[in-house]
Amino acid sequence: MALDKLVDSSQLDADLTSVANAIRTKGGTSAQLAFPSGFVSAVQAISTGETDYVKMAYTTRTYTGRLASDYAFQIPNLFFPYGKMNAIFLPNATTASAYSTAGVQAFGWCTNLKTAVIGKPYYLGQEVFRNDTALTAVDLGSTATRFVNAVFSGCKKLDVLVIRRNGVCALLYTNAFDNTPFASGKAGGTLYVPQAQIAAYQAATNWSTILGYSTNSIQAIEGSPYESAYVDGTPIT
Amino acid sequence: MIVQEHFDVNGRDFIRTYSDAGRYVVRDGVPYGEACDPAEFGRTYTEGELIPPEERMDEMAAKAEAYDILMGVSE
Repeated sequence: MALDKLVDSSQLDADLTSVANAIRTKGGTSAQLAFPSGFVSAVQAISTGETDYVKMAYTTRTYTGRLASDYAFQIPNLFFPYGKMNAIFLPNATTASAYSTAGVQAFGWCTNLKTAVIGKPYYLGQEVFRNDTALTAVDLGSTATRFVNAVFSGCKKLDVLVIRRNGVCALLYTNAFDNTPFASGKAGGTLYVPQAQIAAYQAATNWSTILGYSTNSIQAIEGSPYESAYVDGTPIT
Repeated sequence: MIVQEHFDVNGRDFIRTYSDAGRYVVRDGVPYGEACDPAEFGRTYTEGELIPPEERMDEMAAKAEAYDILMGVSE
């Protein structure tokens, strides 16, 4: 071993203790850590993604009983960003309250989310599903009256959207579908609406543009796989 | 002031309508941030209330870009 530096052992001990304390704090342990193997194994034992889990657990506990009820959509940023959640099934969720802020980014950046059922929304807030990059299908039930901006922006795999309302859900910005299969030049998506509403959607402001892209299609819910079930296959109750 | 721009979708003429004053454009009581319609529909809009800052396109885009960088989401 070459000895080419003078070392202040007291200072080194203090420095190592400082590092060890940081590792222990992060890892949630008070165990002694032998250098270097103990440091290495302690760092390796710190699980990644724990923040998402903790936040989700906290949210679930705080709002127990409401996630499937009337308030889930009314709290801006409630779920943002919860990367571990892969499905949302809220058949009774609504947005009947504050018009301008309801649901802003409620499920944004949920990058493992694949399907979402929001059964009774009145209004979809800004960026509600923004950059949910694994999201493939969304069912908005029978009450949605309007979307604002960037609702689905960045949902690169979203190719099924079901809107059951007997009336057109107003699309207030075309950028609701930016960087989704529904956008210009993309792979295309399918909008499922009641048969009686197809013509109205094709003529509706902004929807007429989205549906004007040749890659997109609009189909009747009646006779489709979604006639009696939500997009995740769960029957409507 | 209401601004209208023509654009083409699959050979069909569309008109994009928006307010250069950052207001909603309103038709039949519905306030749109922007409105795109087939030109032959001849739809007209009036200016409505100011679009809230948090809903304006430029602010939203900047914020989203920042989030995307932080979250490692690429186009």
